[in-house]
Amino acid sequence: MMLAVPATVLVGGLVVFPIAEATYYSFTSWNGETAQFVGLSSYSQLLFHTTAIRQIFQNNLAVVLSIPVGLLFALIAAFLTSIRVPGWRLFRSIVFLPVALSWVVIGIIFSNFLTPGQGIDSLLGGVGLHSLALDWLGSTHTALPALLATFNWALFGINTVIFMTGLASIPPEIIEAARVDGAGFFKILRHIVLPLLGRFVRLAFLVTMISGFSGMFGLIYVMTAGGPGFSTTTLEFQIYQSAFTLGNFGQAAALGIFLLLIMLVVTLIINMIGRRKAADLW
Amino acid sequence: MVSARLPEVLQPEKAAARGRTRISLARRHRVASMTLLVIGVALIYPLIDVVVASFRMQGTGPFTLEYWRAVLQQVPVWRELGMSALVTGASVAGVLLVSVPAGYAYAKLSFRGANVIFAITVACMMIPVESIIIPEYSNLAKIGLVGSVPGTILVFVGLGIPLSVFLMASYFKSLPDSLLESGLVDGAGHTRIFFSIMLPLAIPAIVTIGVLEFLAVWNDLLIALLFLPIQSQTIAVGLAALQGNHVLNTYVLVAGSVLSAIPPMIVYMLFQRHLVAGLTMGVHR
Repeated sequence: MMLAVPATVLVGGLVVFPIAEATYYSFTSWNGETAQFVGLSSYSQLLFHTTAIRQIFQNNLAVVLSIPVGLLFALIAAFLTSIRVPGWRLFRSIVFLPVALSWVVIGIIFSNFLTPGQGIDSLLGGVGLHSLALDWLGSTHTALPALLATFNWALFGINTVIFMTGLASIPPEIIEAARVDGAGFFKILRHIVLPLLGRFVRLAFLVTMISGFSGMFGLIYVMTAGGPGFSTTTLEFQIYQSAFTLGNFGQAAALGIFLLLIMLVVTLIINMIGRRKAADLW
Repeated sequence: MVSARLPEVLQPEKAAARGRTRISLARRHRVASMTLLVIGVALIYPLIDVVVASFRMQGTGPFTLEYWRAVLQQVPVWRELGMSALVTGASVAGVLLVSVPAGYAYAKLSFRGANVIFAITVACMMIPVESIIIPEYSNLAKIGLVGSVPGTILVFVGLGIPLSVFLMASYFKSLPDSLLESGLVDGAGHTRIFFSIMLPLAIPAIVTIGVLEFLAVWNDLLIALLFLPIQSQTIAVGLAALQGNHVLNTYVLVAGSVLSAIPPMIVYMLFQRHLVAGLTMGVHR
């Protein structure tokens, strides 16, 4: 029992106690020193949201909506690797590489790559798409797509590895049996491989979503600092801004509790969808 | 066997035997390979492009070592790398020191409240760092641990424990109870059993947790930014600050990023297998 004491004390003091405090402070106007009880006012500001808050929620929604696109590429790559098309060995050795890179490094690399006149321009120019040479990170229309593309690029390796593990776990006899019954390539993919991958798709989605909602701070900080305007500010980034740029700790705490609730709800929904699908199968 | 699980279209000899033409198979093969190639290039091209640019004048001109020389001659870069190493090393050691015994206790020893405390610890994995960072900051500020290296390490350790304890407990649970029982029968105490039977067997899981924590701390920005003293920053914070204020030539910055990525790359290449294991540990239950 003594063995678990240090871990319990540290988690209690550094995670559990702060989350309780954050909940309390979210009902106050708190500037870091004096906290005045204001009830639900911080939350009602979130509900009767200002333009900025609405923009921030839309950005978080965009993060979620971009995930299936990223997962699709990872799924294709994992499938091609698992059926060992020529070149799969080389591919497998590079695919996980971005996992070792920090958001800061990825942000610096892609900021340079996306700068007008740099990497992406010569690439687009090379295939005759000069008209697409834009100031990707400088415009309110393209900054968020560019950021999300970078984000999904960074998570691609992890997701591909998750799907490769999933594909390896499918017993070959099932596919064999389907083939004997006359099922073709796409039928096998659609009706056997994809349903059996369900829990891996769920894991990949959750890992990516958690990262996109609460792990992307470094990327945003380096690439866009949330701008132009609020066009790339997510909830996570706004918490930092509210607290450490604006000094509004109470609102930041409310946003933090809100972020936690959103993530719990999305996780529950994903798990419920997953369970029902699995139940249909049996 | 590998071939047994392949869909038919990718097993030329079998399909051909069933009357399909080899030409259409070859074409499908080529489409599949091309697809993988395009995805692979899209993955690696930005990295290569930017690294190559750091060796050329203004990114597109003739070959030069100017930017690399500039970054290697800067004192802060080496000091920052040293700070990253210190904070990362101490946090990894701290997390292991605390999580390995705790994981063992939850998996193999029953004590009062174990299930509840374990459930709360595991639930903490779900809490986004931004949700607690503000009270954390104000609490540590009150006891003078903001702007200090020990305070920063303490935060990293606290935030790293939930996942580590969860993975450690899962691993210890997979070891048979008979190991513990036979140790007790032989008259060994719990301490002895932990150190001479369980710990050696747990090395793969310990390595996995160490690598995960290493990458998390080395690559972190937020916590180092808030809790470390301004004059002694990690390389991640140093680079991010430079990116923000545009005083430095952008290719010097790129060279610095590549330099900062070398230690995690080495760790990644040495322990890739353990990383994948850690990632998928949760799925198989």
